[in-house]
Amino acid sequence: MGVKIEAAATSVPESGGNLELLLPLLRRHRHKGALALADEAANKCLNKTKRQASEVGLLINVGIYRDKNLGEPALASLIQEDIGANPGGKKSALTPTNQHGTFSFDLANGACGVINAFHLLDRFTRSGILELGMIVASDTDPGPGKTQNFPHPAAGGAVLLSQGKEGEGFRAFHFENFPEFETMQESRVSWRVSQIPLPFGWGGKNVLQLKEEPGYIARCVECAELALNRFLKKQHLNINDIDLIISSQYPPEFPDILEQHLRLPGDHVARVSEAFMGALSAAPIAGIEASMRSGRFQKAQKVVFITVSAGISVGLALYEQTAI
Amino acid sequence: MTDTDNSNWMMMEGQQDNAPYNSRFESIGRKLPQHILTTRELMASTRHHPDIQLERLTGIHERRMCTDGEDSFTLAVGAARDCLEKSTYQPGDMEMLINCSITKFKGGLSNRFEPALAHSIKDAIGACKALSFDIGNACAGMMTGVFIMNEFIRNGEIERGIVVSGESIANLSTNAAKQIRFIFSKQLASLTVGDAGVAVILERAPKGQGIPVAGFTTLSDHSRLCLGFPSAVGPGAAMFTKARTIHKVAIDDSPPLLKQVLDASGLSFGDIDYVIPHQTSARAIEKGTREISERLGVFPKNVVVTVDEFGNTASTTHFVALYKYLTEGRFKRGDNIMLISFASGLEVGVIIFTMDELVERYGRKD
Repeated sequence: MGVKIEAAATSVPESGGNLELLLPLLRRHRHKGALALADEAANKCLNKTKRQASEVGLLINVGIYRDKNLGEPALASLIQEDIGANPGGKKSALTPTNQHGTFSFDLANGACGVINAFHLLDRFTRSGILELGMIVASDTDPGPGKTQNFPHPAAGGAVLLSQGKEGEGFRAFHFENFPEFETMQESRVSWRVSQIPLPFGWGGKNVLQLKEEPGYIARCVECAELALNRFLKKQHLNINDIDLIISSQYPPEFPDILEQHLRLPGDHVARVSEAFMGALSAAPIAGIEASMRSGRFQKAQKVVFITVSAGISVGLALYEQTAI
Repeated sequence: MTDTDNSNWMMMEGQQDNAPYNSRFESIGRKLPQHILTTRELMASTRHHPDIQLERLTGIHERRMCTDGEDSFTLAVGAARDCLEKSTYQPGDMEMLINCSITKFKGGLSNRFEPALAHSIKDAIGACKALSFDIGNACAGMMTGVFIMNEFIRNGEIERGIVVSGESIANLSTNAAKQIRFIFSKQLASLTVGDAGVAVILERAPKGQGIPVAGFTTLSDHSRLCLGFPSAVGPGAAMFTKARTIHKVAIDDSPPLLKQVLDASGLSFGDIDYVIPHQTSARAIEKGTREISERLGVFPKNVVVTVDEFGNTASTTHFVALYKYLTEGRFKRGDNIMLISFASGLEVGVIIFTMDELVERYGRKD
């Protein structure tokens, strides 16, 4: 049995047009948070397959930057409730409509989180305890005024995985870390003392700060290339055997520079719309969605996912289609 | 759901078992901060001096609290090293490392989002071959990590790995102490938390040994009953909880879920030698156990309570308790242990296992 991608969908904030340039408050009002983006992408994804939310047995959220930097509960549980995936309690009188409940949790590994989640869903599906799994990803500026150097556009994505035919779907996964570059990119929430002293402990705020050292992009490409070569060798493949590459999109130049390094023809790397350039956790899903929409994903016999994130962490997956 | 409902609400490992192996706990490690903060000291530090008999209400006498140089990372690394010292394995033998903490403080009260803390822990302990990532599932984090790794081991994808969590969460108390005025404050539960780090190594075991069943589900209708954010009044976090409602829905909804897992294991609640529930308060554990037992028609033999000594240590509570009882020689070979998690989400998780030679490694002689 294989584990295949059934559908992928994405979401971005609505545009308020030129008025937004004049009215920043309107922009903030109209822009959706991470939860709303995740909910929208999840619902779109279900609609594409005409699946019911209650069919989802396991829901993993891989987004990193969420509204107000929510730390608890798992955002996945809020998404599960919002989309109505066996929420239990009063909403479904604790009787699952599909004879199973839904389990949800968050997984965090930057843009590589999607590949980790593929790996987990692949494992649970192969062993027969899961029929339909969903991965949801979204990132937004968690709190305007409480962040510094936030580089990612607001974006969301969702993907559904289910049992496929023998030989169809995910074939192998590969993960590597390069701890010598651990501090090249970091994000932290830390207390910043206010310049103006105030009483009752109100003299400061927790601020999300993102730091990136010069040369990070070059190290990302080097690490990705090294890990990819080792992965392909282990799979007895070379780069010319790959029909389609779906990559992460941060740093924003990563896909283009990687393509040059690998000396690939231009049409081997899936392109995403401008809204997803620089996006974090949802970007690989945007690559799937775009290549599915164009038909390239379905035509490609061998697809490789290449993701990099802070750490430096590299996540790779080989996905195969059965011949059409 | 009624108590006789037969629907398969729980996502279950070990129920329809085609997996070639089981997994078992090979080693357990713990790291506690040195500093002890008593409930009396904590209540004396409250800004508005609310009339709350916290110790009487919760049974919590004290908890550990990180001081300078200690945080989520150091607790996780300390626990992982303790776990490896008691293990027959070397760090380089680990094939997977899952970090499960809610808090990800590294370098003081600085909560790190990227890179994943698991990578730093892996590097610090020398588990260079391990696939590493963070998961987040509130106070069910460690049990979720075990659930995930159990699946990889049972199906032969890996042979062993380490699940770890360091919770530097007592800063919630410091922040809540600045704001709480009344007993009905949504931050009251923040006064019950304590810091701790734990780690467990899981390894491949033959069928019939180790963890026969594990189950998890999320009753997300209750997902907004406990919310945690960075604090507005100081370094660290703040948490807002409808504690009574969570307790009520957990007790109302959990009996059929527990029964599903017990049925799959072929055990009744009365066959369980030690139930280790999530450690919130001694009164809540006592009341909850009584009500659930009455619904299931039978009482377990023992219920483990360590909240009096450590407070609610979030994702680490079950393994802090397990470690304490192991090192005190209270378990014996063949004891059936049941870990039950009720966590924000609302996450309900159950892991059942039989105590094996682990007891001898932790000092029991007979």
